[in-house]
Amino acid sequence: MTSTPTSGGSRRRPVLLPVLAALVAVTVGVSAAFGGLEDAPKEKPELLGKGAKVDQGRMTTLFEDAVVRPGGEDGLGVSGKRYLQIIMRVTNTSEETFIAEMMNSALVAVRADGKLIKESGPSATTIGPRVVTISGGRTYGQLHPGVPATVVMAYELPADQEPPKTVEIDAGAYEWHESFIYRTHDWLRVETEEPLTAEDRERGGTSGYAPVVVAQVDLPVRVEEV
Amino acid sequence: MRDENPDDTGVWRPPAAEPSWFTPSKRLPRPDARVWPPPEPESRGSSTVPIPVIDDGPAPRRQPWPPPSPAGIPAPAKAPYAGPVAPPVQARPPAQPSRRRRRPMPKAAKIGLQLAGALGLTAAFLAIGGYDALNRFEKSVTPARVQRVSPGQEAPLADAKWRLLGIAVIPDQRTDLPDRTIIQIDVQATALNSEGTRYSYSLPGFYMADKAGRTWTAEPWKTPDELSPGVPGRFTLLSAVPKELVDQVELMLWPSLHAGEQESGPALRFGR
Amino acid sequence: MAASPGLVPGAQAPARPGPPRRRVPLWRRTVGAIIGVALMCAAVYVQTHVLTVDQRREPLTVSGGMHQELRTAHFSARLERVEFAKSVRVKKQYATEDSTADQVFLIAKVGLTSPRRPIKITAHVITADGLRFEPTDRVDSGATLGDKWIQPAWWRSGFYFFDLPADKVAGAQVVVAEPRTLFGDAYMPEIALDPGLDQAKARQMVDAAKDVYEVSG
Repeated sequence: MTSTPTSGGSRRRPVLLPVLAALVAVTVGVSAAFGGLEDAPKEKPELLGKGAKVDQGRMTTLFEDAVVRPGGEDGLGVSGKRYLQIIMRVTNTSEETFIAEMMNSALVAVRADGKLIKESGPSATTIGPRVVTISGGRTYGQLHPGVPATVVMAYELPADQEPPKTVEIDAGAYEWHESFIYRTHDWLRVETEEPLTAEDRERGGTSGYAPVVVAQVDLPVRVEEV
Repeated sequence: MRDENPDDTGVWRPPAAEPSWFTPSKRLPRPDARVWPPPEPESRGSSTVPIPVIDDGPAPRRQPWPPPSPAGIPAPAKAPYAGPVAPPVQARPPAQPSRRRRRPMPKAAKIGLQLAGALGLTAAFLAIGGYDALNRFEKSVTPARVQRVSPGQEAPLADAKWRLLGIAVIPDQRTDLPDRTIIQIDVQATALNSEGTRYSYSLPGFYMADKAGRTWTAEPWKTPDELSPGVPGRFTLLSAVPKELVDQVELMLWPSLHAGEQESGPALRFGR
Repeated sequence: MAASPGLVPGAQAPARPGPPRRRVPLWRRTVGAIIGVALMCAAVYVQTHVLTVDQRREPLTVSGGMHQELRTAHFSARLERVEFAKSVRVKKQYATEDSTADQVFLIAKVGLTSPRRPIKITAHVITADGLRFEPTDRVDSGATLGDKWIQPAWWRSGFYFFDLPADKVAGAQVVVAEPRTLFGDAYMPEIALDPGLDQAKARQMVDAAKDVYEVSG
């Protein structure tokens, strides 16, 4: 403790700095060679057709049909008007009953002939469609766990509008999400961070989140006459 | 030791400023002692040993160093210091305990004290948690403040004045429910301002209460079509109460249905 | 603070006469070590019983069987009858309404009362494998007990209707509770009523399900 410090001795050669510099150079070089630091390109959603079955986490959805038919049948809509109906067979794979309206957010977007007729999210401009379950010619609103049910998503068509040829459906997904702060679990729609578009800012949107599309389903539209 | 400056003369320099979080010092400067050339042989009296020898038992920590006394005799009645002049074995026979040391506590008392401390701390922890939860609950649901209204009197509550007109047993009772009686309650409301006219469509919470604090719903049967400030309006309510309590139940009035469900905030209780 | 001359060690410091240390016998040290390890194990074991946040948000459940009167601080309940039907006919004052089950209707007749204040009570079914079925919307809710005020001083009996797959009936329990609210209180009570349906009894009762079950709404 009180001895003189041992002077001299072997001073280490400064090895660390050159080694670090070399490592940094190699890292920068390799990442530059592989395209720099940029997000990997997003996975494209699966492209599916009629009869496709999509696992959406909280439910599995079999896309059965898209049809334009007059209202009043199956207790859906008003007679004298026409409705574009997307018919699905949905099985609730969660442990709790949920309402059919849940499919409205589970299907992120619906396009008829490329024109958006349903979007979701805070900046949605269209009113959601009517979503019901149909059984025995009546409409109900529940999906019980493990019990498949026919779900119909119905859009009213304006009287003078030609029925669309096809509809494209963007299917989102739910996950059993753990809250970071409270450590509680809940079903939440899977979303990713997205840069704000100019359009979003114009509308006053602040969140740069967009729902993830796990599958895109194209359905040809049948037309049923009265 | 390796990174110590070999040119350091070993002379202690005071730091430029007190080391603090923004002037961190590499290591705390400590007073150095001269080691070379070796110190002059000092008189035995002024020299000390690094660790004072202490008699049996655990050494008290942070024993202050005894001030050197020129006579070479340790300061009396201080730490049980023993220099080479006065070896400890002779100075303090181990059989004789120090006067400064307390008698060791009995083991049972020590464990009891520790246990009591643990229990006390646990109780305090739970009590503080409970107090905090209660505080927060009362912030969201304010406790009920029930104002008693003597019979026939009118009392203000949330933008209107209220008066109990009467409670009567209705003549056509249901015979299939022998244990309860349906009573009709008439209440008069006078809006004090334009806010108070809302009670014609946004109903307050009406309940019938007995002395034990049990309550029954009083459903509005007839309500005034519209209320205007200063003009009395009449509410007619129906309530099913136990037969034996027909003469005891009193009308309770909460300013909104929600407040009635929560039983929070100001309320009126009309005596009979 | 001046350097104390005492910091300079004397070259010939006298050998310190070690104080007579009490020696702890080996067996006591062994016992102490064993107790210490046991306490550590106990502490780790107790940690496995710590409730998760989700579990802490769950209601406090009182369980019981048929006809048993079960009490909580907010309400009391008893399961009076459990029946099965393929369809339910709700007779109203001016109309009757038929509804057919997708699977099979479990009809629970429950009696409820409240100790202090009027409340509304909803029900759900928890199956043996933990699935939660809400009351079916095929039967008008006006015919169920979920819409009615449960008041002190008397019991109110009524029905809850569930649309269950026949293979989920065995081991299913009817749970009654106050409706869940988004920011409701913690530790709300619920009562789990077990009709005691084992495999054989469940199959027998489902097979004997009535075609039409009539209730007044």
